[in-house]
Amino acid sequence: MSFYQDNNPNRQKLIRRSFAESAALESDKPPVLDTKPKLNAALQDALRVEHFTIPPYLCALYSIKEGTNDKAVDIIKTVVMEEMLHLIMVANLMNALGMKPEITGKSLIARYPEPIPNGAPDFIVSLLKFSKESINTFLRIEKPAKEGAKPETANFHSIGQFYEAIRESLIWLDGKGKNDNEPLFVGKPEKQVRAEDYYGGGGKLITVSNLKEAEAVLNEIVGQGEGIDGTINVDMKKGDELAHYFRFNQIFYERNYKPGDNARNPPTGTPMKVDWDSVYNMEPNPKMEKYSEYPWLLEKVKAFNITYNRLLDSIHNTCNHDRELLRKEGIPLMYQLKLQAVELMKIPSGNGNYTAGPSFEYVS
Amino acid sequence: MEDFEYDVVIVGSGVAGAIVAKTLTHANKKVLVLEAGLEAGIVLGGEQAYRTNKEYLQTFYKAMFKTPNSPYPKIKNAPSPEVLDVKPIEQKENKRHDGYYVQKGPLPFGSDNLVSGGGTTMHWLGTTLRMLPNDFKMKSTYKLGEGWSDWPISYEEMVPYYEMAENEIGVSGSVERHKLPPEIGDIFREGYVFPMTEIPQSYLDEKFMAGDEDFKVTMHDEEHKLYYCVTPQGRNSMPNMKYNIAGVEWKPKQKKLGLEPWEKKENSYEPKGSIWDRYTGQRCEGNASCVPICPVQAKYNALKTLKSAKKENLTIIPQAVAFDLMIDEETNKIQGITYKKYKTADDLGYSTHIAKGKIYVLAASAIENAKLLLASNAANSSDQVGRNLMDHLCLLTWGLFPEKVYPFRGPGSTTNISTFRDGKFREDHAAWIVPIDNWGWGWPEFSPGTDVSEAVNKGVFGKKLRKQLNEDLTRQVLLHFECEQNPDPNNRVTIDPIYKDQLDNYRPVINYNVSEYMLKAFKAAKEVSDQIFKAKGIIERTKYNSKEADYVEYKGVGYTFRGAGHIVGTHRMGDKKETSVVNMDMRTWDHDNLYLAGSGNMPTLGTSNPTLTLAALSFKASEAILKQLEK
Repeated sequence: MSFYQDNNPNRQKLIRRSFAESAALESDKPPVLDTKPKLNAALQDALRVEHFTIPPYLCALYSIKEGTNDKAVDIIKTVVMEEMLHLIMVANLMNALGMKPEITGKSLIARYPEPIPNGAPDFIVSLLKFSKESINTFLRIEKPAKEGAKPETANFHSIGQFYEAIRESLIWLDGKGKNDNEPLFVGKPEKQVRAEDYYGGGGKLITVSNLKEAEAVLNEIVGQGEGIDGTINVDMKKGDELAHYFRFNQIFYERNYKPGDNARNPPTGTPMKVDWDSVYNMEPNPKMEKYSEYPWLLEKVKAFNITYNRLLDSIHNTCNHDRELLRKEGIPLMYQLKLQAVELMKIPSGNGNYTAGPSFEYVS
Repeated sequence: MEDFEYDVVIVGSGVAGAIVAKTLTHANKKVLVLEAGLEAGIVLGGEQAYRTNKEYLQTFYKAMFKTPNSPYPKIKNAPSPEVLDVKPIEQKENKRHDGYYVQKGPLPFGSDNLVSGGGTTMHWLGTTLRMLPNDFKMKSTYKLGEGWSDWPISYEEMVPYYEMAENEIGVSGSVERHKLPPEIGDIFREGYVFPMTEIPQSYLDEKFMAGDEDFKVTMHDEEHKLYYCVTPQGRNSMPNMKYNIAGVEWKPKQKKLGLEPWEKKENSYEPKGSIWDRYTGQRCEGNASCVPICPVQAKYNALKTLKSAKKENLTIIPQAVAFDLMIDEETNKIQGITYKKYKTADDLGYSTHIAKGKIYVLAASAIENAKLLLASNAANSSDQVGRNLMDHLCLLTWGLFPEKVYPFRGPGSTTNISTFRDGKFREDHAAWIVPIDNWGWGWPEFSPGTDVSEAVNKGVFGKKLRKQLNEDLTRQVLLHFECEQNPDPNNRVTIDPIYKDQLDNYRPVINYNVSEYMLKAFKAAKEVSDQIFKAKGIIERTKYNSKEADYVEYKGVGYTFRGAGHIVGTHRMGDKKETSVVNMDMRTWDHDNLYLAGSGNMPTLGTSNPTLTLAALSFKASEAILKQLEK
């Protein structure tokens, strides 16, 4: 999840300032995550959080009929690619700390509808087709932190707070490690997935070997609250580097931002064509158990899940064993995943009003 | 706008024009580009660029014949040639003049280009081979006669410009696996790597190459090993972390272009994605439709170069067809270029304007450059304008491999056989390169579509049809022997007032033939092919039909050659005003402020696809232009 505009110098300045201030203020007293095991657990949670949004985004993306909703497709697609990037960068961070990132289906896959891991329990996320409702959910997922919100690790109300806690922990443990002559960054460099291995969105993959690079990863994933300066800083000629929240807001209001737009208000730029009807009517939260009466359909949903689990396993192995696997195995599986998902969305389900869909369930 | 005098006016936004525009704008020169293609085709970003590409794709998917120009708009006001119009010359006069070219024969010229923003790089395959050292001095090395001419530049002098072109295009390749016959020697400088690692060779290539370490073919009683070269390509793969060139920069003090290293050591080459979204097309996805269109623009096209020009110094006027150069009678300098600005692709109606600059560059393709010079009576004191039209003549051979090799996956070709790119035989007949093709029999037989329709016509359907296709399509292999055409002054482009297009501009009138130098090469190439097929157990399916457009006979045997789309040589460079159109800086001998860019400059063609070389030459021309402007 990103609130970060990598092309926006003003924003970057604000992020840096804000990070520097809080570091200066709080470096003396221990942070919430004051031990390496606690940090490890939090980073494993971070993997779950980054992964959690991918199935909902993919359901919306794949439900859009081929050749329609160009801009919305483009927006959702790049957001998904950025979540993937974040996932792998968290894994890089964990590897740099000598931890073992668990990216398998078993450790990551959620049972939708479900709240965001460690998130506010009253906010339930479902697998939905592309619709105003699903975009509204995405907006809530990506909603920036309130100004001055305190870092927490359980039941946080924004991802920003969560990563802030991780960042403080890293600074504190790094300092402590230096004092105790026990360096924090002890991972093997060859385990880092590198920029040349990953592509497709969200900026450049960062490899981690020290605190500075670890902070760069967190910077990339999360920024401080959007709208600190009250305007959307978009250079329309440069294009498209709005934070996720604002990109989804454009879809919701079917309108682009224009320079000078206020972050608290809807976009007021040129209209964006959104065709809410050119969408497969996927039933909410598909599940394998719903299709038990239709063995041939069940087979297809299961086959999809096998592909999805294989994909996660492949990413796990990429980050833990052999970075070349992403290219050799992971990327072909991503293409296969889409084909299988779209096929399901074309199959009528239930009383015929809905279609089936990818259920993103764990299968062993 | 008419009163504004630009530093440089460029006609054409293909790879040559785009490189000149980018290099000059970054050196803070004011540049105007006139593009004859449609406005939508030269939008350099955002939704409109995305939509244009989508329209191209939809047109391509629907097209009955997937020819190189099939995705792109047919513009009556600025027509492009179409390979479907290439017909045997025996047909009635009006029939063989169908389309854009006026074919005078005796053989039809078989290659096309594209009038569009980005030019023919929109549909090129993306092969980026360099020419070899001897290619630049054919006449003196192999004592060749009429028509032949050495280049005024050596390979060694070209090396830095090749590196600039490889940087700009973004070449994926492997220097170690760029295998050439050992006699040729190393052609890359010590320690050089390409910007990106090689595109993986196809499974078909691996199967094809397997097991012939000791295999030799005999040509003219001499045995030759087969050298398999990993083909460098202008499509995105993984950045090579050892590549340390950031870009090309004008150095005003030294008055030259330099290759700049990265400012910071940790920087690396970043693959350039599509023009509408930099995250799309960062890697080749194996869509396998490179020609005519890469759906994600992982393949280089010149719009990417144009997009990275310095915007505040660049003006682009689309739908502007240049038709006359205004020449000052006293100084012989060009004073302006007149162009017709049309409103829609097909409707009659245009306005005429004049573009003015200190220097003019024609970069409109070899044939269009020649046409414009002839129409303006410019640069032709040598009588060489339009002459020495060349192409690679492709002799195709195809068959069924003994096992399944799964063509139609990945780019058109990832490996070539380099054995016959150079050698003493060039005294007697043309050299050739042999790309191993990866798209089955698509080129000669329109596979896979025809395999389906032929089977259905024979009553095969259902499971049997699937089985048959699975057996046959998966074993299709194709080689093509790209033979270097000799320069011949009688192969030429001329103009004739009776042949004009809708906008009242000249159509190219083409006289074209092949010499015995080529026919001998066809014979030798087919004999080499026969030996390879036999050794690998390939069941021959090659057939040359006397009704095909470019069918020729030699010593009682028939051959059909096909154009490679490599249109070269209509305004050759040289070291003498009397025998060439431009000097080594690509400035016309006759007009101080007129430069020609593109493959028309090439006096000979070698055996490499010409785009990389013409891109390299465009950097050289840019350097000369900057030198002249900053005198």
